[in-house]
Amino acid sequence: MTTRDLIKKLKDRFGEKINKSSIPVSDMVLLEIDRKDAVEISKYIFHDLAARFVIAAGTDYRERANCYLVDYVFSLAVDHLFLTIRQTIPPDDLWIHAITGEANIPAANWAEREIQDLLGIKLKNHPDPRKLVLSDDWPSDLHPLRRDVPLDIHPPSEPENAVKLKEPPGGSSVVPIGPFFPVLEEPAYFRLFVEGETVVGGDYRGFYSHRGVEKIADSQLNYNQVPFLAERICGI
Amino acid sequence: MDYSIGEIVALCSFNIILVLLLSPLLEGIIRKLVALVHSRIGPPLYQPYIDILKLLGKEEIVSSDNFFFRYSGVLALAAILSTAVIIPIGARPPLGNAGEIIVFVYLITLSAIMVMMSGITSESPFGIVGAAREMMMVLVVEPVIIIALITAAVKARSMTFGDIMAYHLSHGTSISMVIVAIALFLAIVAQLARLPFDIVEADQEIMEGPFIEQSGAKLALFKWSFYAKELIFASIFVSIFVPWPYKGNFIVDFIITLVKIVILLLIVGVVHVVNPRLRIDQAIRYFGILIFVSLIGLAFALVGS
Amino acid sequence: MHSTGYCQAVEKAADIEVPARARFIRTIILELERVQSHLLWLGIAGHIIGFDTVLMQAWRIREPVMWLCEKITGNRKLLGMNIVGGVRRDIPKEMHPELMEVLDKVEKETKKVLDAVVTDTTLLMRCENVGILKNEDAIAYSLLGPTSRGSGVALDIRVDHPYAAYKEVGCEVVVETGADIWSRLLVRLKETVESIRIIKDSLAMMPKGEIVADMSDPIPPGKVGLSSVEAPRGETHHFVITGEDCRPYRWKARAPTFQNLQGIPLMVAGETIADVPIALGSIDPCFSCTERLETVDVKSGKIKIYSKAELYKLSRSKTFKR
Repeated sequence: MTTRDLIKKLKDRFGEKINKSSIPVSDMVLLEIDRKDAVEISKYIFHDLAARFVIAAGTDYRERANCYLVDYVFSLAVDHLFLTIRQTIPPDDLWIHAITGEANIPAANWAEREIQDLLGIKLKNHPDPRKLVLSDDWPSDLHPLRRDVPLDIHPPSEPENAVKLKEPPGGSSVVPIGPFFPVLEEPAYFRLFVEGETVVGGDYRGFYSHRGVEKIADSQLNYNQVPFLAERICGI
Repeated sequence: MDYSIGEIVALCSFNIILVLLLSPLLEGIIRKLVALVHSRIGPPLYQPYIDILKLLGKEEIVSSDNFFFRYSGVLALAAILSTAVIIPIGARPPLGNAGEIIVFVYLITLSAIMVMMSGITSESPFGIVGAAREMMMVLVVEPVIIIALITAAVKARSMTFGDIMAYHLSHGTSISMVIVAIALFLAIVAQLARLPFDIVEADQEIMEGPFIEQSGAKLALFKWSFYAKELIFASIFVSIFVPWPYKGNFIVDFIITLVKIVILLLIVGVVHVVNPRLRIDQAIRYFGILIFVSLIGLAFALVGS
Repeated sequence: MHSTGYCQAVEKAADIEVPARARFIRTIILELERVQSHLLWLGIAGHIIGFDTVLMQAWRIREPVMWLCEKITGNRKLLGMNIVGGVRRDIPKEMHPELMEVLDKVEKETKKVLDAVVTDTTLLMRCENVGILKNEDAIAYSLLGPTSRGSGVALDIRVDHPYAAYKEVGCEVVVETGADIWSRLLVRLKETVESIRIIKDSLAMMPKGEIVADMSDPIPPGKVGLSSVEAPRGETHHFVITGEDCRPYRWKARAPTFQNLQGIPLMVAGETIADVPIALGSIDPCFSCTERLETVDVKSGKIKIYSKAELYKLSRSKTFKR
């Protein structure tokens, strides 16, 4: 299936719901849709087309078009194509339907929570809408990836915003592994619920060592400086 | 054989000082062997001495006011040193016929219980998991040790170390002794917390287990008790199961025993270095089989071979 | 590999064609990173289950690979080879014989380790049927890399969305169906051998030419580009919207561990505590990759970022000085 075939197939299925389609890159199809149709279209792509969910990217596009963008990227491996669904969000009414729960795509869980934390776009019907990425005492109304938040801001500390980790089910006890993870010696907190020696559940709190890589890149760096920053994302 | 009080005291002191001072060196030898297999240079042979000295001087951070938390290290080392005066190291046991295998097993179990108490009173979930693992290991490893020693005792028709050693010296080995020797060797590997059985203080999994909250001098004493255990167990094994050659001269016998102890510990080191760690349930099953094997050895001994 | 992903995303957005020689050099660099990452993982996996001998030997074999990286780029780990439009350094023909010699040695030693590890029964006992990840779960949660390839999902970006020189050099996808830690270990070890083959072939097939494209035209703003790269741990994905002033407007980087960590509850449920570290280690987690997002100026001291001392304190709930 080529890019044109893919566009035709989706247009045949969804007709009006696709506002605009384009092929910005030779192996990617970009569809612009309304947020009310996002769940239905994502469900079709993930389940019926058997595409793989890649990422969800939120962008503060207010400087350009006075809106926020939320892009979902899917991969169609058999055809070697990427398919991006773009929703435009008006800045005074920030919410999206969370495809994690409504379209039954568990893969999108963290990606959508990240958008909520960093851009302040509320998720509707997400199975676990807790804070994921920001630190425990980060102010609740400050969303760092918005363009109007400066890079060197010093936010006040609001410890009451700490994430509530799940409680163990009856009869089991908690074995915490972390926040100093013993083997890899990196900060990560796995809260295991155990009965005897068997694990029956757990919770995870991570993101202790954020470095603001994406914010630095879009505030200060030019194209050729970013690869050096990109490399330092992974030190192992 | 009657010995004077002076000789008894001298031999007791000799054994205790030997265990205290020599055991870190044996540990250093094992570490050097492990390093060789890892293709690296490894620490100097006197490294465990430096470790203990450093720990003795470090600040102690206490997480619980419990009596056992504070003194389990002392009691563990004391138990092991008490065994030093009832077992033979190169010569006859210092306390002669007062030292018998039942007392030995009690003292060893006491030190294991001290490890458990340290874990339980540490107020850390890892400590409690570690203590639980130690308890399970004790339940399956001690029977093997007991059965092996009883087999040796059955053959010698006496429960004291001195008589057992003398009997096997004169009568050579036999099928039952060979069988339980193998079982006892593996039990020793577990007692010394060596791979594949270092489940109790698996640092990567449960962060040192029962010892997670021990620090400073308390931790030094625990470590010392483990080094001492190496010498004690190796000495037991060598004296009972491989007591030849025996020359009658104190110095010569002592040196021969030391050589045998070093060889045994090197074999323990080799087992340590070619194996990963077993899970607790796998280890329990393993020792279940070993208990069975050592019972077979005991059966052989009871029918006369 | 993050730098490759980013550069490729910008190149796609701006429609820049990267010269062939640069593509081959990028392939070599990516595969070198894969070899050293998998050998490092093997050591860490051994360390987690207490098998320090595997740790020491795997890392000893890995040293020549680090030497190769240093020979080519001047750095052992953060190689600094990619820029938008191509690569920064060439691999001249005079270097090739030396590189091939070292690669042959690494390949021999890796195969020896592969044979030794595969026949070890205690290792098998610890890794088999532990950390099971079912095929359907791997697909539903979009898990990546060797984690999902060990569960029978034939997902490999080098074949699904070919980039750099993979179309020319070819790449065999290693898939196991055991769905446990042992399968992931086998996938990684076999991939290491395959990577060395790819490096050797790339060195042989590298065409002559420029190593960086002609970048005299400015990059137009408002364009979208994205690129996936098969990193050792899975797919890294970079999404770029170009901006004014020769700067990106938005750059989103998603590392594979971000996705793979979400699959941990499935792999750990029902296992004993002793198996949790190795189950976690089997996805080869790179926490620093996962957490590259957000927070600001560390130097101010006002932001609550857990320092190492505070992390130690947190992990022991009650501590008071004597």
